[in-house]
Amino acid sequence: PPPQVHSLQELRRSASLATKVFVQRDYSDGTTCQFQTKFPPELESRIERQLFEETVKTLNSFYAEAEKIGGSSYLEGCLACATAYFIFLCMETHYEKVLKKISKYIQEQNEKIYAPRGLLLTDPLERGMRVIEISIYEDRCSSGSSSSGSSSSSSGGGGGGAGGR
Amino acid sequence: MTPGGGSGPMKDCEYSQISTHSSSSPMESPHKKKKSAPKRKWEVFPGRNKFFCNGRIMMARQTGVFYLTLVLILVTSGLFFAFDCPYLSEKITPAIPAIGGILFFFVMGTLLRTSFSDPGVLPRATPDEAADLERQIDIANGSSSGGYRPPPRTKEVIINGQTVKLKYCFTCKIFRPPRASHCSLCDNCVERFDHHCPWVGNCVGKRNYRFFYMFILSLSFLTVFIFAFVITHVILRSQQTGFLNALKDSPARYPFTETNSVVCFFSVWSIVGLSGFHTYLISSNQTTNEDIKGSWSNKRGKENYNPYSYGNIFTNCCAALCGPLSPSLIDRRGFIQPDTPQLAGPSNGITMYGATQSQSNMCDQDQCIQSTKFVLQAAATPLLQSEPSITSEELPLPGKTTISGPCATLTLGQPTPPSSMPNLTSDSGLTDMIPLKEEHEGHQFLTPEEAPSPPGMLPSGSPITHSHTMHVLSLASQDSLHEDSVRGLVKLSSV
Repeated sequence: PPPQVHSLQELRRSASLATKVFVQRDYSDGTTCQFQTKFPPELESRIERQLFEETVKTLNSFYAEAEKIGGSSYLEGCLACATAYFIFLCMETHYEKVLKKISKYIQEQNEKIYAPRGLLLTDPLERGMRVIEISIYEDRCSSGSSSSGSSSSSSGGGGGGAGGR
Repeated sequence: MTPGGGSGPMKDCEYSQISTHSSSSPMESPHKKKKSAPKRKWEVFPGRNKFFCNGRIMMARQTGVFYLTLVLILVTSGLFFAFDCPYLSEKITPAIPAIGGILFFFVMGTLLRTSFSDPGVLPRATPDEAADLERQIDIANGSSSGGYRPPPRTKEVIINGQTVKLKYCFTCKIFRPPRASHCSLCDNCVERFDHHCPWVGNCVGKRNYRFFYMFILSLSFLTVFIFAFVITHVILRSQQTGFLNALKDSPARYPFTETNSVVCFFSVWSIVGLSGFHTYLISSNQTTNEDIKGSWSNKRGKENYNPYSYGNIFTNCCAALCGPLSPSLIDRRGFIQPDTPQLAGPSNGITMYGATQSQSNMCDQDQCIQSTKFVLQAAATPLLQSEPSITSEELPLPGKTTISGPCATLTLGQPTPPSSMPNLTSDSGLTDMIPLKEEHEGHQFLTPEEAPSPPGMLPSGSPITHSHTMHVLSLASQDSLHEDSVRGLVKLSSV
């Protein structure tokens, strides 16, 4: 773990946060947790569309699996009810197990795909399952590297780079 | 003061940022008074909730009626077990106290689960999210500055062919998911909000609805059970000694039998009725909130139907009662991350990247400029815009609504994405003020929005001064915006 974690931390130390993109929820299927697969324009120059869509689609499938209503969830529900829900004190629910899988997946995606491109995914669980927050980092060290679409043009005109040169 | 802390009470005063007296928990452990003790998230939770057992238990603020419920159940059951059961278990069968015991155990278990668990509270938006949403709303409104009233903040979504309106919550700064509602008593948005139950001392929402339903169902069985066997007891006695004698004897030998029967009689009707009502709601997959508003009734229009219903009663019931239990989103027992991102996670293995904190340190200059821009812009144009009553249907049962009434927002100019970030600290400053102020009708609050490109005039000031300025601005906003902006300008120029 240390080498991979280290690179994420280095990303934060050596880069400055430029902006954040929020991928909102897609409610067209009801209240189940799904995120929009629409590609945000701010990421246009940072990551390939297909990689991003695949990440979101995989996350959506994880959440669908967590919230699936079927045989095993009924069994869990009935068992829990029969024990007056005391069983939740010792057992982890199916949903929680899937959430752990999701967290691992996000970390792995960050390490392999997003951090090398100066991006960082935040687990939606930390944002109340409302958004997938994608932080876009500018590389502070390299000079003249501010070439990322809309964010750089406005930051150039605005309050002058946060990490003063 | 704490005995045995490493540094004495005098040293604690220096570290004024960790103000331990501000936490509202009655069970704060003494070791938190150490200067470097990180706070848990429940201690700074913005809603009106009470927390116990270091964040494990969560209830609404008014818990008096809950204790009444507990007392009623305990006393009634206690009297039953003490006075009726010995006779009945001899005369009829010992299965009676056994079944009674199981029912009682089930009732208490589900009651405590309902009262103590998180009903499905949605955490409030982080400042970044809120700013991003505001920006998108501005874009959607055509970014018209000047004295227009923007349309109410709603989004429309088509769910299973039915158009559903998502409303924007001004307290939580989010668009509420479908079926969520803001509880004015707890000051939280709750997912799949059913109602706020004072008897249980908590909201009833997505995460604890099944516990609530099992509670009222088992309670109705329990009350019917107790009522039936108390009556049986009296009847059996009267067969021995005659009816009137039985009643005469019972206060002497078996006190409170009549009280017990009376309590049970009234409870039976109300609780059984409530169970019946909720059974109907579950089978049609509606919430109390929706039913009372008639959201899906045919009276609204022939095309109106419930998009969340699965079509048949059985599936609806199974989904509500045996469906998966989603986790709590508010992470009460997690530690608040300071600036340094710590990947050695808090509870639940959730890792916080803490990016929002770090950037506020980096962007002091920008924030200062932003506040200035805001004030200048405010002074330049009369920008007081009032929203129509946004959320008129906050809550069916308790009468109060906090977010009703005209609510003024200030929106400015063209959005610029990176400069939205420096408004973090000033935003959070105002956000803390807002829940308190929303008690009053006709309140106004200011939202420091992005402003056009700066003239670049002011030198960098300290963020604290400027957040104070913002506080001054928001405090004074009760009068009129124009006066504020002038006052604010004066304050800023004196810095």
